[in-house]
Amino acid sequence: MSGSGDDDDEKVGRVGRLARWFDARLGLSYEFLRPAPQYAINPFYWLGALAVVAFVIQAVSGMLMMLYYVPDPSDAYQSTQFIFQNVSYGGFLETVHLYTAYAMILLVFMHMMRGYFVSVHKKPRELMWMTGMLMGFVTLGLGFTGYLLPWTVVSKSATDVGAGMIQALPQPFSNFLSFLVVGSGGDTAELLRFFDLHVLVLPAVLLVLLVVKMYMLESHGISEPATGPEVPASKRKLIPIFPDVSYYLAELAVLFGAAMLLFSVLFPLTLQPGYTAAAATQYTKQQPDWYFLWIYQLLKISAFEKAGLPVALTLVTLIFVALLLLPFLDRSKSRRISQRPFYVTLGIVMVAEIVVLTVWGSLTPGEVIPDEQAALVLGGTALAVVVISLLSYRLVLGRLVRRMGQSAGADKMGIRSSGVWTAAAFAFLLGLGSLAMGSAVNSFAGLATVGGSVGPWAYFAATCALLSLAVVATVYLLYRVDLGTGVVRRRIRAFEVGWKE
Amino acid sequence: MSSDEGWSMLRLFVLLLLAVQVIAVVFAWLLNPLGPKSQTEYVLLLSADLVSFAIISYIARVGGSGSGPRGGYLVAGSAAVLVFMFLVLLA
Repeated sequence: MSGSGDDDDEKVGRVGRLARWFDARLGLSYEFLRPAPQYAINPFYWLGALAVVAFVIQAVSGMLMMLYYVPDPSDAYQSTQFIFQNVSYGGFLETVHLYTAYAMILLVFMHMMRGYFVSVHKKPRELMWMTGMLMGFVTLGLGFTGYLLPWTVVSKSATDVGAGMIQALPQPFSNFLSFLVVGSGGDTAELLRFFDLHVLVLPAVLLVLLVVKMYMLESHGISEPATGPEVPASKRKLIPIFPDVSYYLAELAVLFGAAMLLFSVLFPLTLQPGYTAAAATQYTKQQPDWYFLWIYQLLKISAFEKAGLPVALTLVTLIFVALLLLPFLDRSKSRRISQRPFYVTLGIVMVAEIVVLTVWGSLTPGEVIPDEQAALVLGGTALAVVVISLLSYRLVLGRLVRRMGQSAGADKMGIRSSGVWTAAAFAFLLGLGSLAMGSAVNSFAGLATVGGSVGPWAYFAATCALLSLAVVATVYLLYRVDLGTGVVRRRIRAFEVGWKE
Repeated sequence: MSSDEGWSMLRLFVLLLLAVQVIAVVFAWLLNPLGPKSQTEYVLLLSADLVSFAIISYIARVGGSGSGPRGGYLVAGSAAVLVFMFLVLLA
């Protein structure tokens, strides 16, 4: 036995022996850190890990800046200026801190959307998804609270916009969040609260949530791919966490770090002018930082101005709540992208709308967006995405399935060679429905905010009727397609108008 | 090229990368932290160091597998390290 052990020791080398020494004492390999599947050697599986790397870089650079920063309105800007001008590599530290914060938000968003598309929220990972969503909210909170700290006119005005959004929320959220975030003692209390939240409360919450999520990841393992051939769990090729996965993670982490460093040198940050009441009155481009710009752009639609603001903020809150509760809304059992056209299309629409709103917001700072323009841009984006997605499902996937010779699978997915007309009908109905919905929301918002006479009410009724027609026709079409593919077992006689087997 | 020759080339390559790492770290410590160009030089040296580490880690990870490291990755990584070190000289 001992001879065999010696042979093994010779094979693993010095680093391996050192790892075994630690493993024997810490029990990592048999208590934690189970082997990972081979397919996890893919950067898309480690977007969350890269976000944690970004968080670590921010923690280190943030702690170094904390040595000099003074969280008081009278000194905050001067201390930031001191870091830029007098501290060794101070400007570089500030730049790296900001850019890794941006990268972290972007990585968290990409991690969430990847999880959405490959259905990581399904059983048994529902709570993992919710924990991840909470971590996403905390990340946004870190960005929001950190942006104010330099106390520049840009950061203060952006924070004022955010604080205004919080105060426009329906009660009791408005009072509670205002007290929690802004306080009631003016600039000093606000800056001190933001500082405390940014350096202490939110990082602590994030770390606790990270530990909880890591525990669940260890318990459930890495999720299976949602595309490609399905491989039974017993036949999956596994690789050890050390050295394979650890080395891979180290490679990703250092390359990400190098990219952040180079980006910070190529595009160094310049400190904006400091905040004063006089400077604030002259500053007209008040808007939040880019990751909140899509919300702000929504609020700038004229229907949501003033009285409509709480309605818009409630809608945005509902989007976040729906994402949080996604595991309980998306109840289908299949995780395959090919079998979830509705949720996949919905996700693409969401990403497209967020990108469009963000870019649009950066191009139109401080401008109120007319309702018709908003309906056209947002409705047009949704329509284009839905049509392209649907056609892709019907044509590309259909071709793939036919090539694989899985006619049964094709039938289950509702993809048949004769389905082009069905696809066209779906596209037409969805387009009609999107336009009708956009017009209905637009006219309802107009009625709710400014009131209306007979004309606007008639327009609203007409759009609702059109929307209802589109919905009923879509449901009927779905029913017929399902009958054709054998998914619907029990027919509803009332719908069987002219149906022939 | 035989398998043994390939491995000896890889060993030489890793040794070169380790040398680059040592040089980068030594030069980074010698920089004047308040100098006007030192931030750029520091980042370039650190990036060369990090990319070298990534290549070495990659070789250590896939070196034992049947296919071995991909030449394209090694060339791209080495080119990046060379560019960073060259830019340090120019800065």
